[in-house]
Amino acid sequence: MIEVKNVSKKYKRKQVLKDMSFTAEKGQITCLIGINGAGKTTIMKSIMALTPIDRGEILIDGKKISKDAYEKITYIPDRLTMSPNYTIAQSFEFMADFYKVWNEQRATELLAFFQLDPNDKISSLSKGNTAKVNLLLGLALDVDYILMDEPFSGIDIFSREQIANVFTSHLIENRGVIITTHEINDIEHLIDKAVLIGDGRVLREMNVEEMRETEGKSVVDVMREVYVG
Amino acid sequence: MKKYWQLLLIAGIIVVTFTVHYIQVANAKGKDYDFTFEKISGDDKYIDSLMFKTSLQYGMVYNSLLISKDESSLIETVHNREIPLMFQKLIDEHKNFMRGKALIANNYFEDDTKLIYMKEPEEGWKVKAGDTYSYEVDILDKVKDEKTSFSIKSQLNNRYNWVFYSDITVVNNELKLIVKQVDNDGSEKMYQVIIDLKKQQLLSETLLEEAAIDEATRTSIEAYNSYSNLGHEKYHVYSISSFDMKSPELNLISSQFRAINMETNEIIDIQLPDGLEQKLQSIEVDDNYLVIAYSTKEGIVIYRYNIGQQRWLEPITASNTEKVLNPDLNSTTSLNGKLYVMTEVNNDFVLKIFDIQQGALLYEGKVINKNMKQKYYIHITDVYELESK
Amino acid sequence: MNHYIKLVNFEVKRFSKLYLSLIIAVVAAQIIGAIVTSSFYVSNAETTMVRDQMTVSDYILTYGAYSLQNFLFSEYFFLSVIFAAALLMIYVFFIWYRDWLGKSSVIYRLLMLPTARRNVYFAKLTTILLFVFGLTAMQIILLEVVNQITQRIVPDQLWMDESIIYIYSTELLDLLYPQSPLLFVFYYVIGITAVAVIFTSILFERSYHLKGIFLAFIYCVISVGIVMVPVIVQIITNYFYTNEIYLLVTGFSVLTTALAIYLADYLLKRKINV
Repeated sequence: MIEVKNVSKKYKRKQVLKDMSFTAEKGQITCLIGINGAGKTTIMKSIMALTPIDRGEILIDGKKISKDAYEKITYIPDRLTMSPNYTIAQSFEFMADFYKVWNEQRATELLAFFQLDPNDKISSLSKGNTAKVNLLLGLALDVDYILMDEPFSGIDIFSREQIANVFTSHLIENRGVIITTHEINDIEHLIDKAVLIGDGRVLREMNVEEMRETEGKSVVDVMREVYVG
Repeated sequence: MKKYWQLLLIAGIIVVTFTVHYIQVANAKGKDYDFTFEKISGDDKYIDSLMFKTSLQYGMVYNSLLISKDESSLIETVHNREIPLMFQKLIDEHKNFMRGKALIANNYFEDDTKLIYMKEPEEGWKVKAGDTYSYEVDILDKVKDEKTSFSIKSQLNNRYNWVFYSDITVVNNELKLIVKQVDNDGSEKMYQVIIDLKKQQLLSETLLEEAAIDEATRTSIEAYNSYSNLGHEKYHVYSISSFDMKSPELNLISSQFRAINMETNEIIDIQLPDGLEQKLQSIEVDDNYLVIAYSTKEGIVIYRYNIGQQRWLEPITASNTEKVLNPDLNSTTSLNGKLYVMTEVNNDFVLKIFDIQQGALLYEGKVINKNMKQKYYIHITDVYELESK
Repeated sequence: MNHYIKLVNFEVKRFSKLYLSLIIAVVAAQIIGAIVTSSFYVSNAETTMVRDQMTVSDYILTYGAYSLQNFLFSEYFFLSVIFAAALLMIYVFFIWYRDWLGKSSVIYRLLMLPTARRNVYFAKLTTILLFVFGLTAMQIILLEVVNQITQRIVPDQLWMDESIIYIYSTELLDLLYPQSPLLFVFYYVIGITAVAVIFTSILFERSYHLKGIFLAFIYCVISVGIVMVPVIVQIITNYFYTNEIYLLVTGFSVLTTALAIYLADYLLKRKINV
């Protein structure tokens, strides 16, 4: 379980995170919802220690993040994290070199699934294919937790379907996933938990299925309540 | 492994290249600077236990080189700052005492039991009018390894720009200093200052010589005792010379030589044979003798003066075995009754050793280096007795 | 240790193409310089000897023979060395900033590796050192090549062979290849310290942005201050011998490097901002 406890952070003069608290369980897909600038990307980076926090605590399976944690949790940002001069194959080599949990077999499967050529230079790929490679590099790691930041941004609809399929496959099964997205429609039916974020704080944290059963509301309904109403 | 080839290549090239380079440098230091003596006449025993400190000019690089019969070694300099050998010895033996002290030989006196250092007095322009300077004495008792210091104010109230020591010696617990004061206009005054070491009192400050400067002539006082001798020398030999200010080369008008007996404080006039004062190329003072030498095309001429007996000995003429290109003397030095003379003979450097008192040529030999690829110049700055091993 | 070496390999490989181009440029410039300076000398000598009716030995006496010095004091050598040094200096900064700039944010990956983040710092430091030493090693070889080339162009009587000690006593060379072991350690420790301090300053900027530049400046001043402590003590008390000062400055430099590493480790772990 990933626990975010009372995290606050100021950046330049703005308070970007205000006493934010939520949890993400293993085996569940948790979706962080909010407009741009609400703090979604910031809290993800904070979980990964890619940006410092001023107050609060973040625990992964009850422990503070350490270097070994990077074999248990991975982050797929909306940017490429590999040398663009590398070919896809070379990026695999890099990952295999450093991560014990790199699963070469799964990487090759995903490569075929996304219909990518391992000898292509990453810099020569289209935006959609680059996003797929990015995703691939994260998903091919046998980690417990995957953080994905806007995995659908700038991707054509067919690729989106492909990616959404990944969510339902065995690739995600026992892992804890935190995802941020605008395209709530694409995955509403897939997510287990929704955390509504606004202005740096958590406005609503809810279990999607429960919400549908008990109050008959969809995520979008709740969003309307929280943000508009 | 093969994906590390670039890393290994760079690392490999670095290690190999630097190793080879520095091995070559070490070899060159051994070979290139290997000087040997090739005897022409005389007895080898006279160079056996000696070490010559030389200055070597090789191309545009100057190095100090120590040459002895068996080996030559370059003196390491860091940024061309070299500590003269005698000071290195003092520093090694008395590290703490020598800290922060100026390395000027004339400020030291050493004998078996003690080492004395006089700190150079304040420069005159720092001393306000009416004030005077102090004699600051540091004494190291070598036997007990104890240091004492004291300071005595000078009673002289002259205006001066600069004060320094020409000689320091100790006779019967009296610290005798030859002090020179130089004024703003360049004129000089030479004093003998006597301090009682036990009572730490100033006994006397006697004006010995004055050298004035005016438009027509410039007079100066010059000392000739060996720079590197830190011990007691019986006589302090100096000259008062007048130069013609109107001539472009500052021609020598006259030169009067004198010697102070450092034990009796008596001053002796030394009369030079006619014309010698214009031919002086080298002047050495060794214990009881004043040795003046110059070189002609035919050979070296050496004049010896017995200071105690106040008489000139027969001049020695040592003819050159080969024709000499450069009639100027290369260098001379003296030690323990012997005169060491280096001359440049064609492209070789020849060392001659004379017994000062007897006037005999004890040894003549070439100082050669077979490995040097281009022209070099070598001259002797000092000679030391090698410590017996 | 394993990860450190892998990171060094990573850093070396990503710069190797540019590095190779740099080496080729320097080699080309110096070989051209060798050919040009020696040919120019020869034609100049021949013209002068004919015009002034001089013999070869007369010419050498008046104008000097050709030696490696002629090349070492030419712009070809001097500028090529300065150029290489400048490029490496730029890379001291760029080796970090390249990970943040552009479409790809390699810094994310580097910070998310299952390894101590200071290994990234050490790897970059090691890489710079390797590239610097690599160039200086190559220069030694290149000087040999230049020596051979000029020897073939200049006729024997006009060519002056020089001792290796003499050659490497020339200004720039005695700085890069000091003959005293004390000086060698001294120069290179100071160099490493300088790079370490620059690296940590960069990390200050990357962690605190504008405020970071200010902090970096203060940090640099403090670092220089630490290294200068023995020198300042010497100016005040005149207590130390020269070689003791070199040793002390070296020691304080090592201290400064240790501080740089400590701060870098802290910044990378707790304050860095992607």
